[in-house]
Amino acid sequence: MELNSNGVALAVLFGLALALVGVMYLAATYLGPKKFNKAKLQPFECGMDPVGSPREGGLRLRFYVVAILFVVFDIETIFLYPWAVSYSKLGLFGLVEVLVFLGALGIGLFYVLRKGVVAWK
Amino acid sequence: MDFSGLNVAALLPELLVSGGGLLVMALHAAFRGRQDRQLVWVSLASVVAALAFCLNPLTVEPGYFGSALSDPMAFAGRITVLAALVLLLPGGVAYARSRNLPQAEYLSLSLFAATGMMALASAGDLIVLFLAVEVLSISLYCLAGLMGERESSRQAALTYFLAGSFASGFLLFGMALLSGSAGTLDIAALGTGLARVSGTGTQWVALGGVVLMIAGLLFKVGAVPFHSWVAEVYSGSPTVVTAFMSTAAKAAAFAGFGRVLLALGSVSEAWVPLVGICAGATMILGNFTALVQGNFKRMLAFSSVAHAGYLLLGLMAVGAAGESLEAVIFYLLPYVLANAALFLVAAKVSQAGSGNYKLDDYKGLARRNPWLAGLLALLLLGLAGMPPLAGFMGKFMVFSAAVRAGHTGLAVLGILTSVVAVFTYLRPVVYAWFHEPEESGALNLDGGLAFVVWVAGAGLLLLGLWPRLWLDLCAGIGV
Repeated sequence: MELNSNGVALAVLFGLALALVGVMYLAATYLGPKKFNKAKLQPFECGMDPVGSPREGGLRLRFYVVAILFVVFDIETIFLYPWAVSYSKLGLFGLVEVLVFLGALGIGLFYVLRKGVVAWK
Repeated sequence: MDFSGLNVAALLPELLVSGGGLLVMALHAAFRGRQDRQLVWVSLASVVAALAFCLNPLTVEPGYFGSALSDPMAFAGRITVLAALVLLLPGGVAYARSRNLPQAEYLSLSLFAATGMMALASAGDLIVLFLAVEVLSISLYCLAGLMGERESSRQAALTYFLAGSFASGFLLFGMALLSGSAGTLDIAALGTGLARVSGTGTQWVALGGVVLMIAGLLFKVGAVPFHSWVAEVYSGSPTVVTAFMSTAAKAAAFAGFGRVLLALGSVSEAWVPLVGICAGATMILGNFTALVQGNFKRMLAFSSVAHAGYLLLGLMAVGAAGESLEAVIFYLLPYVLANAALFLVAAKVSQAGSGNYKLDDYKGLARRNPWLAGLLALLLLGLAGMPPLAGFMGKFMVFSAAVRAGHTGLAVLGILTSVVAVFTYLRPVVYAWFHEPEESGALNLDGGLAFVVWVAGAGLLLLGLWPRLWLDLCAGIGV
């Protein structure tokens, strides 16, 4: 069996990775010291003492909406880069397509602004 | 670059409808919701313009380098979806207004979903197919949750989202394996691509792709064993949205499904047994579960599962030589007309009665509004497949296509389960005509609903008496 033939090297690497992770987990379980105290068992909150229960309040939906808006405009950039690079080849067709795309996003942004989604109250 | 293969006109119906959706959003935002009553006219204008462009032979050439087709299948799919929109949008807006749901969002999301559905029916390659599925699904997830204050609506949206994303995963992975092994994304070329790799190790990859893709599509059309989301989503969503899902979305999904299976006809031995088992199980489970429902909306939900079974039977026939998708194309239009009208009637009758879609609401309907009771009977019998209504012609064509393709056993099973279905559909009719009303007083229809019910009833009768009308129109436009 040739080590660098198709797939074999990959399988060996995969096996080694699994073995390494397994060994580290087992070593940590059996060799690591286990001295718990109150501070260690508390949930981690940037070095401060945790306040309140994680159930109350929760994450506000607003964060998700902003995150989704971010993703939309992030993707806009991803589309604009290749268009800009190949602008001379795509010519008028590319310009029109990008304008259609930006127009649709623009209407979406207008809608979002008018609905007060980004007004942080 | 050469753009001679672009032909934007091929996608004009989709562009018009999505443009209408954007316009509705923009107008809603610009007027801060003060002119929402007029938005339904904007939406209907874009739908009618799209209909006109479908009928225009300009769009026959494939567009976007073969990604957007305008064959009879695409034509039939587009017309079916647009017809559902014409029937549902006015009633849907009235429903949304009376229950204080956002009208502009209902309209624009419906138009965006319809864009996806039409693109799905006309998709020429796998990437467009997937994008279309996602556009229609994501819009429908939002529509399902439109009645956000109700837990059932939120639950329907989440269930639909989770089940739908799962199905999309299957679909995408199957498409990756299939296009990788066939060496093409062009749906029509999949068959020849797969013929090239038969006998090599790659054929097993291709088989995996076929099975996964079919599983994803079975999920989307709500066939057994992937039907469990249907009852919850259909009964939890706002009724006008359920009507849209179970008609237009299902028709589009079957159009896309049909196109894929037609291309895979050369490897039909790989999928016919699989689809056959699912079709049989779907017919049995859908019809028997619909039989025992005491809730009209759930009954229609399970009946739509049962119809998915018959449609699958029609799709199986395309694997055999010489069978076209004609039977499936024909089956869809009367199904869509009858179901769209029935859901709107259900919303009306329920609102005037118990408010939760109990079958008991139909007791004595004939005394309160004989025309409505008569049309209800017509629509339900149309779904059941009674001659001379179009449902009969649809079932007849599907079963005879199945027999010609050699699936006689399944065709017999289909006929037997259709007999069961007759009992399901007759129950509300018997309630309406032979029971005493629990509430007295006339139940009057408003103009929009009366229009929908009459159009659907007339359509069922016309298509049943003259089925070639629709088929010749489809064949004449696209070929």
